[in-house]
Amino acid sequence: VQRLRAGAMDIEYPYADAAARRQLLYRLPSVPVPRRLLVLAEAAADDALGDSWGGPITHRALSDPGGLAPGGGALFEAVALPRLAGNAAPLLAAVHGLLVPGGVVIGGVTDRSAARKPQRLRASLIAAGFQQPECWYVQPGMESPMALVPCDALAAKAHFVRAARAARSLYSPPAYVLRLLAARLGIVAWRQTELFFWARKPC
Amino acid sequence: VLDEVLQLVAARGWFDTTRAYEKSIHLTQGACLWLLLTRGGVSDTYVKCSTHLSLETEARRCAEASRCYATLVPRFVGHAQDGSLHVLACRAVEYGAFLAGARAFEDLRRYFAATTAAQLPADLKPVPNADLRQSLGGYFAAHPLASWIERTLDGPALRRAEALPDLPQHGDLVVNNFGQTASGALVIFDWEDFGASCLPGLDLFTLELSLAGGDAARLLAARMRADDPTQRFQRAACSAMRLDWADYAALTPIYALVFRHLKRNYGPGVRERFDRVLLELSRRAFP
Repeated sequence: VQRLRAGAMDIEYPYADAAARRQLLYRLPSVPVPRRLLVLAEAAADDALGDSWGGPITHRALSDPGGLAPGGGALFEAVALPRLAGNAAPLLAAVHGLLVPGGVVIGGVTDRSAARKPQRLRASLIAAGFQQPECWYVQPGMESPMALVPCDALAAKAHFVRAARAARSLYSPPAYVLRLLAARLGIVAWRQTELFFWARKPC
Repeated sequence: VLDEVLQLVAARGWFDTTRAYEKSIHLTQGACLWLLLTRGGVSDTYVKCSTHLSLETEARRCAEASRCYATLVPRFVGHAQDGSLHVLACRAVEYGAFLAGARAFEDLRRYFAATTAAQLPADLKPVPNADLRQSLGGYFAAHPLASWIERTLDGPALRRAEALPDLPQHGDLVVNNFGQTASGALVIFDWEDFGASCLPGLDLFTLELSLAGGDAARLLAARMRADDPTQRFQRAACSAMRLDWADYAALTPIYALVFRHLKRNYGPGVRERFDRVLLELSRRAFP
């Protein structure tokens, strides 16, 4: 098939690219000025998270202990943790120490078992000293996000029921009934494998 | 962004954020994002926002759609701007998937009948049918199918199109933009292109293409099955719009060009899909 190219007058919008939408997730919560951001990550793919951040950015590896040592006091208005996994409590406590009052920790959880327990993540954030934790399921996934669904059980269930109904015409009647049932019973929410979150250090 | 949007929505009295509510955040591949605000999981308010482009014209189009088709369109609430941040809000309705049944087709037939009476301010109708040649010719000049497009624009179909009355079209009337309430009533979403084309029959073509899965070959094959309920509906819709079926069929390449032109602001994937429609149509003969 002949590959057709877009015309010169076509407009390219900022969120057409999955990476741009991923960056947008990190800009959703309000962050105090001067918006110094620390990205704590291992994967090279996460280096681009701050590309459109609008403030100074520091990159450190999670495996670098120096990256977590508060050098003479709080240094950042935001800390990004794109791949939080396993036992998050010690890391969140360290991040809390790196933030200015009112600063925000923003991140993703890609650990399947941890993502199924958003209430545990919320508890970890509060235990680390953060306030107003917000946790979201990421649809369809962190690499190419299109929606953040609240983890609150009722709201999540309503969202997935709504999504099943909206896609009704794509499925056979038995498959639709099964999908709707799974959404109503909370199974679709339980099967989510990725979380996005943010929380604020008290002022 | 999020806090500013919610503060603006609350300050305008569009949604009471002091009572418990939930929000889901929907990203797009364009320049906007939108929020669905719910209470206890029940849809309440839809909020679209952007710091990249003005939503003022879209808000006016939504307001006009609410006015023209009150029973089919979620109620427009308002538009606000704070610096570079634009926000528009509509009431959200609970809905399910569009099922192509008798009730849905009757609601759609009523919509097509009502399009003949819809009136929009002149500035919301940027391309009168009389200017189609200029508008499409300029846009497609560098397109890989430019020679076929040029021949099409020089042919009798365009002259038929130019002679039709200017009737504001939804502009993206596809199955994905339909919902049905629990009572089965049709709801039509996404009015951002309302009036961007005034070519009668465009909405019927986009619907027909959508029902054919976006495949022009399937669309043309379906037209040969006159006893098909969808085909009967299309003839009824043409009749409701006082548009001759033969004219509608002959205008197919023009509709496709207008639709592709409207899609110029969408992502490259969408444009490429519609270019495939043009490619298929370029292999066919139309009266």
